[in-house]
Amino acid sequence: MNGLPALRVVPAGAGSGKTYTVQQTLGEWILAGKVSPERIVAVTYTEAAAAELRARISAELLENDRVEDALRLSQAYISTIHGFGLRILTEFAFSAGLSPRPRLLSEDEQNALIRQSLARTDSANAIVADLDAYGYHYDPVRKMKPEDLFRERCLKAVELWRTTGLRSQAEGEALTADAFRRLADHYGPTRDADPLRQKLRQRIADLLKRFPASIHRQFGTTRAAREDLIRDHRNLVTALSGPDLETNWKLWQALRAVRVSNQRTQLPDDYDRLAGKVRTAAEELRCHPGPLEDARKHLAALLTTGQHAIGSYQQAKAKAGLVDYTDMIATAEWLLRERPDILERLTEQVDCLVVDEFQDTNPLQFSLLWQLREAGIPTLVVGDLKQAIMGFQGADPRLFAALERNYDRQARPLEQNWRSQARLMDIVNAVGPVLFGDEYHPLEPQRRDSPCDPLELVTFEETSRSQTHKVRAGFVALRLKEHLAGRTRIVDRDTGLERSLRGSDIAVLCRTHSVLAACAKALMECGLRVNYQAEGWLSSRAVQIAWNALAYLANPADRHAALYLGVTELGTLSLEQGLRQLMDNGRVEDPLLRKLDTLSEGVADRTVYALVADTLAAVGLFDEVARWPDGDQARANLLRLLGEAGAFMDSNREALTLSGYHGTGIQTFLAWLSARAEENDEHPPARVIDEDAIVLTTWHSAKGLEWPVVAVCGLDQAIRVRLPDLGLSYESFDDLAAILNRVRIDYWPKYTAQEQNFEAEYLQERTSLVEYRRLLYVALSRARDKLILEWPEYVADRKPNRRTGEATPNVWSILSERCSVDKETSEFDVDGQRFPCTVIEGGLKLPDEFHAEEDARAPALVPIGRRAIARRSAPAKLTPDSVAPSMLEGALDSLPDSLVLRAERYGEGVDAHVGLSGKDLGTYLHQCFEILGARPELVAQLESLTGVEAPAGETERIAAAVAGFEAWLGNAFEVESVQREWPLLCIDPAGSVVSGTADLIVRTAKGAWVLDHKSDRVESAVEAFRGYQAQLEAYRNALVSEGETVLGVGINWIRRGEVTWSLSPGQDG
Amino acid sequence: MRRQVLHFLLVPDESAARRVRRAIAQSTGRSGILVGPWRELVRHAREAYFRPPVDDWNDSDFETALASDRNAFWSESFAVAPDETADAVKRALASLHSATDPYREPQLPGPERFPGWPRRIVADLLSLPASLGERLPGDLAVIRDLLSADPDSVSQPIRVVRVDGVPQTSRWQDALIDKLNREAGRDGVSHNGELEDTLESLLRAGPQANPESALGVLQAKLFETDKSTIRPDRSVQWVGVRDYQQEAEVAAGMVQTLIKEHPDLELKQIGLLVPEDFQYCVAVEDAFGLAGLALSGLPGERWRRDLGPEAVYHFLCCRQKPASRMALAVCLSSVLMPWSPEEGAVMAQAVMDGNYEPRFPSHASAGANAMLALIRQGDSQPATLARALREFAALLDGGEAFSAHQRRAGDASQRVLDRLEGAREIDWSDLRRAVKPQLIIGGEAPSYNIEGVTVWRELHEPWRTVRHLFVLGFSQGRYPRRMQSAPVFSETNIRAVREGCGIAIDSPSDAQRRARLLFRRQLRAVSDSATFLIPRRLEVGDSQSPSETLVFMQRLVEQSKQGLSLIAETDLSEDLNRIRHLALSTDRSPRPPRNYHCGDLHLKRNLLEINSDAEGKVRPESPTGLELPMVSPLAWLIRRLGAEPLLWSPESADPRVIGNLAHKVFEDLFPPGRELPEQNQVATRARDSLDGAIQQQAPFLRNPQWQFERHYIAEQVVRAAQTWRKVLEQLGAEILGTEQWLQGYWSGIGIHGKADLILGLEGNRLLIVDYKWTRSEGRRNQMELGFDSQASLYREMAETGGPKPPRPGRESSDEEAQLAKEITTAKGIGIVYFTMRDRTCLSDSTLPESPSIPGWFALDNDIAANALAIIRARLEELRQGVVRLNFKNDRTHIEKNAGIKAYAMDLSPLIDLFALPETDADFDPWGAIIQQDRSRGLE
Ligand code: SF4
Repeated sequence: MNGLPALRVVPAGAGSGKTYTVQQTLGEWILAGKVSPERIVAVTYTEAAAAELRARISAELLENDRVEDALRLSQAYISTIHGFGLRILTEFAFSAGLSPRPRLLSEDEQNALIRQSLARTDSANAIVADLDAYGYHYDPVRKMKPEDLFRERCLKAVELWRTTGLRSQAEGEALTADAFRRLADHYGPTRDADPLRQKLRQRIADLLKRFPASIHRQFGTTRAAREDLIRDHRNLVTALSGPDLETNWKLWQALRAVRVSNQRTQLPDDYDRLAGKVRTAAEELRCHPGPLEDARKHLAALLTTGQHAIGSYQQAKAKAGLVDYTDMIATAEWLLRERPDILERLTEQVDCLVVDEFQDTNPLQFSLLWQLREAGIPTLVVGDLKQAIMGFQGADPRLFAALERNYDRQARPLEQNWRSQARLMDIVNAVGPVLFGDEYHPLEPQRRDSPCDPLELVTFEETSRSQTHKVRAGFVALRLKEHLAGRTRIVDRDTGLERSLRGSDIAVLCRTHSVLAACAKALMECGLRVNYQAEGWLSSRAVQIAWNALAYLANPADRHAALYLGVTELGTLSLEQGLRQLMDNGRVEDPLLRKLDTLSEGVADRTVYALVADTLAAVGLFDEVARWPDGDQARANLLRLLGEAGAFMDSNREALTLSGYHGTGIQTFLAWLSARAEENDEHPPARVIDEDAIVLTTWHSAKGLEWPVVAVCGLDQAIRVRLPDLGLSYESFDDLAAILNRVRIDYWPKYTAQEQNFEAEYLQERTSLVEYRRLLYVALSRARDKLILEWPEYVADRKPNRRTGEATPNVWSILSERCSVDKETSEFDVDGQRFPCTVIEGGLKLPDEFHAEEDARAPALVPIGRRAIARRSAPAKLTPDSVAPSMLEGALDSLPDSLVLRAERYGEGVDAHVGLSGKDLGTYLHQCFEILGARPELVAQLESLTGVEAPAGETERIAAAVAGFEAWLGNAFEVESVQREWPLLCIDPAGSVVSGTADLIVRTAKGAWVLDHKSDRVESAVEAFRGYQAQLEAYRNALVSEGETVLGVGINWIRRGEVTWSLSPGQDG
Repeated sequence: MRRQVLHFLLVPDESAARRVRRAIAQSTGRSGILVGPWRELVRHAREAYFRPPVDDWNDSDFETALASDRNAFWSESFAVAPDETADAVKRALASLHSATDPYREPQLPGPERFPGWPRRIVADLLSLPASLGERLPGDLAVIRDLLSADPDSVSQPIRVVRVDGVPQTSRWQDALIDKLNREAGRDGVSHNGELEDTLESLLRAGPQANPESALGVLQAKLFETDKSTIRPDRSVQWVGVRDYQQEAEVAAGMVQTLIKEHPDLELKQIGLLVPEDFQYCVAVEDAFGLAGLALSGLPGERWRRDLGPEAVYHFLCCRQKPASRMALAVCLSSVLMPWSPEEGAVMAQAVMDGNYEPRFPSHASAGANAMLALIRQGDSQPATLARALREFAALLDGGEAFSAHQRRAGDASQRVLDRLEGAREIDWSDLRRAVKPQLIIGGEAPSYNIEGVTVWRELHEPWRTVRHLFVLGFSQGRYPRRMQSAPVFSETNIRAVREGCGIAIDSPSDAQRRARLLFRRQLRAVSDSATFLIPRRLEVGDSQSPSETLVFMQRLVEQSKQGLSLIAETDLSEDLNRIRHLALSTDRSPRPPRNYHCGDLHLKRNLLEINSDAEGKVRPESPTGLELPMVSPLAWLIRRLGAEPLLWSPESADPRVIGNLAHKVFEDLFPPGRELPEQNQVATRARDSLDGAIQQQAPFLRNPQWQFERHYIAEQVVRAAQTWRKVLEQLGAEILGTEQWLQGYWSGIGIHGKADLILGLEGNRLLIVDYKWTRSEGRRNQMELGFDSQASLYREMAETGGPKPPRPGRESSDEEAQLAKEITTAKGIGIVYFTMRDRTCLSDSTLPESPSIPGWFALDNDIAANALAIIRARLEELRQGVVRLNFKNDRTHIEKNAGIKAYAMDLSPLIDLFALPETDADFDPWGAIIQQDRSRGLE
């Protein structure tokens, strides 16, 4: 309709100008009038990327003076896929019968709800009772108990079902049955269980008959032998004396390896013989039907539990109007699929669809997006299969691969590289085929050469046991230090000019966080500044001080908090003094604590945010940390604390309740905070840019970024397989529109007998190996000028796995298969192509010059911000910008004491008994005088006008009083006109605007009178009058300054039925 | 009487009103003039025409109306999300009606001209007022009422003076303005357009800055199509800073510099434009306070917690059993409780420490007792809950200071009672929703003063002009504020309605356009310079993008040098000198942090005497307690002083909790003087006993959320019990005591503790058993290294003392007497750890019975020698008043040498903070002590 291609696929290698292409293409389409800016749908990987794309297109349009278009762009759907899904959900909420304002479920809440949903099904009980047997053990690294680990896997099953886009129970059953079938196929033939067990049992009995007691005392000559013999004996006794052999495959596995003589320890011959027989009998574990049956039960439990839990989870969410991230996609996908009317309405609003980073979509997301393209929306898809590294989040790059394959005619690959210097690009182009074979297409370098040599290798022929990462990182660090100290020059990205290298031009990329931490440590010890978010935020000094101050504020009886505060940075005590005070007085005394005591007023109902802010201010913590050597980090840490307080306040209460956090006070906040820090304890970045600091980041997070110099470390890492695993695959990719119908469930169990685990197949099929190749590509293609590679040659000497006889795959060997270093010629050989490179040989121990004298953390910039503020105290008194006369109190100094006051009664005064008191009563009486003064006939409507119900007769009494006053008014003055509720404005001598409303301005031929109604009950009208002088004067002045003659001012004391007035100076009655 | 006409100057908001009032007060006529936003105008009009307040419908009327139409476009959504739907429909109804002709019923064109979904929305909305008795939402109802008011009833005619488009008005509002002016017109105009001119010149002021300057260009051309490009000059700058707090601090410093550089400049001529975000207010107040710079117009709103409804909310959580301990603690420590906050804090902490049935620290009133009982009980029936809730509300007592909160608590409990009425069962989450605690906005009105720095707010008109402006928070989603899309009237639907039936509903993009114009008006009220501060990161450290308006500015103001960004970063040294007014610190030397290394403590007194009992007797130590001085004497001292951290945390199935449950099960299953349970009954009895223990000690585990844990624990406990029973059988043991208090002396101090189990074996041998909810590896390692003190100390108690005598006034039972006898006559006391997780017995004795017991492991060495040596030495030091501090690497050291995880060092962060510098990896601080102890033994 608008002359755009129905589908365009843009495979875009690293540095090929992907975002530029998208921006350019969209810009062109808008300029050519082919699409309207507000009718673009663009899906990016992050919110930041969306903001950037929007800004870039805007700039493009503005460049062409298309201001209107640029403004309209703000309504375009440029967001993450979740944002897009959510927009569909809300925009079509009414058509779809959904909540128009769904709330995003917090992670805590999601956990709690799923926990509850899981509790509603019993299908996991058999597994739960025996978690150890099913391979769930405490994970000390993640601090997770077996139950937690199992729950986590159930969650994975829940997620898995949801991404299948499944709608019916039957479909689910079919998928499950299919998974069972393939599980059995994989396992191979089995034999009868009973004979296998009886044979083993018999042989154990034989052994124990001959050796009834453990022989470790006599033959346990080495520690290992001793431990083995103890363990073996226990296993043998257990196997013989109980039913364990029927179900305990670990026991079988252990019996396969019952110790016999070896080079170092000699056991009795008889023992060897009998133990050998035990071993052969236990070998039959490999064709025992039991393990397969267990795997089946395990899978069944996961799948059924998952399926059941989804039901109640969805219900619970629906009831509370909640959505989670998967819903944003799943529900939107389902809406478009099941409701052609909605799809139609959506497509009517969209001119084109752009999807960036397409390789990172999962099947459900794909299915959502693909429906738009099937509905005829011109679609532009950009991605790079080689950079698909988000598999751990459920992304399935096979989709993009299929897209490239099925639509190769629509493909417009980008063939240039704008990032790396030509000499470096040549190397990347040579390595490409090593990683991807024929599928790699070289990119043509566009940048000219840099003064900097493109490749360096830091080689390690040997490794030592301890501190390996640190030593290797140390050699890299030394090399980087040389570059920074020397005259290494690079080309500036923005200016295109040569300049010398700075710390922030360098990135060290590691595969995992633990290696990263080791690298960071090495770099710092070597005197280099790093930009790295280390763990330890909560335990950092500044946060701890704040924490304890809050704890003290919450409970002044908290001795620990008091002690901590007294003996740390802000306190005045030594540890000894603090402890002595506790011993002597049972409490700690310190000026700091007194400052906090003054805050305790109002602790009860102040919000946590306010309390945190006030506490930090009261103890002056921001000021204190500003002067610390790492003050930037400390203030960033405190700010995160404030931010967390805000987040705590914003958290949904029900969500907190569900996860066991009750209350909104400090103690609950602190409890919540420590759990939060367990999730993420990283220090927030201390600054935005740190010119001197070397960036440390993982390969994953390096995606999309670039640096002049990049060092890739941690290549020695083994590629480990974590079984069991559950995942999705597809029967075929032929019909992309129906991809969700081709789904199937893969299950990779973990059998006790290792050789049955099919690890190699797993690695291939679950694409782990491929994914590592892609990760390597991402890491290697980040550099603009120079690439430094850690080259761990010693990995080649690693021993193969004892049982399987195969080497554990690792990252380095992916490269080393076809790449090598020639140290003689200083050349890097890639499949026969040779590239000159610098070779640095690393060793087992760091040279002495490694440890730097200087402190790497010393800030290089002049301090700004807080430290640059000159401390002053605030002015004592300020003049209000405006004043209301009624707020002015007391007599004015300038008024003569000897005021001529006149007073006259006009009636009894009213004391309205209408159930009001104080200010409310005053307002009511005022209203009555105002309304009835102007319109006596409105007495019947008085109740509805004032909204006050008066008992019988009361209204009439008030009306009479008003009438009395009005009559008096008519008599007292020769009234020409009366203005009621008349606004007055003027400026007082101090410059404040005086703005008020005079109740009555009575105009006579000679001039005006200003009168005000007052409902106070006063003893002496004269005294009371003085109290209102200032207000009356203000009114007088306002009129006078407008050129009016004011004869006098007065007050109607409603409750006395009396008017008091004074004459203006120079007037006489 | 001649009626005077009141002039009402209509302005967008209070800020504009403030500015206009001053201008009027300084010039033209000064009486009879009102200035205000729309809300004010309506109020005055109502008074002028003597119109009573209009009956607005309340939410439940509206919801009934929505529910009555089952085929409306909202029906399905209403069924799942009534509140959200009602809210959206209400707003849609208002915006649709505002766009129609107030004097005529809107007519829908035929479906052929106006088809589909948009038609359905409009039709359903238009028919809605009928089911509401022709009532309209809020403002519309008032306007309609006023439009029908009798022209003659007006007491004081109002003439509305306004500027087209500022503020934007709807058709209904226009109609009212027309009516007012028409009816005021009869009384003549008195101001001759002067007021119009004043208003026009203030609300639609043109650029104030020099048109040749960059600021002038921004003021004139921002968001305009025609452009003129200019290089950045001294009139504008964009500065990137880390976060909002730094913005405030940098701005304060810049203001100081400005003032210093221009002595004639007054503070009020400097402006801050501040986002509507209380964080900014806090930060600005703080930074400008430091600098002693007065502020004028900074919002002073403070949020407060809604203590009343909160108390009701948590009370409900307490009544839903099993209640979590934090709910109990929060309830107990509420200031509305009829006891003192101190008492509340003590009870709350007791609950947090695991006591689900806390008592009063001191004597309590009847009301307090009743309240405590209420909090502890639970409900399964609506009726009992309703009764409890009424009683609860009546017992609340926060004193004078919290009476408002108490009132809100009453209202909240009434809301819950309403829902409970006639309910058949309790829907807890629904009741909690009804309580609706929310933050209460309070605090003082901003101080507007003449002298201070002028503060403008993001969504408000400028209230006085300035020479220099600092724009804070120039980040994504601000300037202009991002608009939320409306669920009923999306842009597409609005367009369709406009085209289909000519009703021009105000759209989000209209609002966006107005927001942009507001921002430009703010800019235009500046004459000399503007600084845009761009926060690069959010509070928690995530990065954020600059305002979308930046590209529009970039278009007009272009950098000359290629690659140089418009934004100058405070983090870049080369940018620092191009930032104008930036305050730099003169003091560059950092202050070194406090040095904590202080060496061992010499407190010069017998520390063992701290916290003696009433008679001055030194408190006995327990075997577990004595591990503390071994690992960390400072930890021991902190605990002795009652100075452990008081932390709150939600319940978790941690090993301590589960260990206690398992202990209880074993105690029940294997009581003294009885036969062992039948093997086939062990499982059932263990499960029953576990249920009871959970009920008492860890009720939270009964919550469905903990189902996995419960199953898993039960299974583990059953297996352990089954194994243990077999062990007892094979040993042929007689159970002499369970959970038996023993006491004795060791190394000059009293020791006491509860032995889990005491067994008598054939031939007068005794076995003291300790159950551990762990696996055996760690414990075995510790024993092999000679670092296991616990069981040995029990043996020590048996040997030097015996069963603890009953409390005065109670006779010892036969069993106790028997046990005491057995202990004194015993021919050897062995000790056993039973590690429940892997069902292993670790013993210091090889018994004739043990080889046939799977998992019986006997150690040959002295399992306690090293531990006892160290504890002895440490106790001696404590007697002397010496507290040895830990070394930084003690954790690894202790684990390696003693097989002990040094959890004691986690008792307080102070222990690590004051730890001595790392020692050499090979240095063994304990070596000498052990050596010495050994040689002493040899003497
Ligand atoms: S740059 Fe700033 S300090 Fe200098 S003249 Fe202009 S406004 Fe004043």
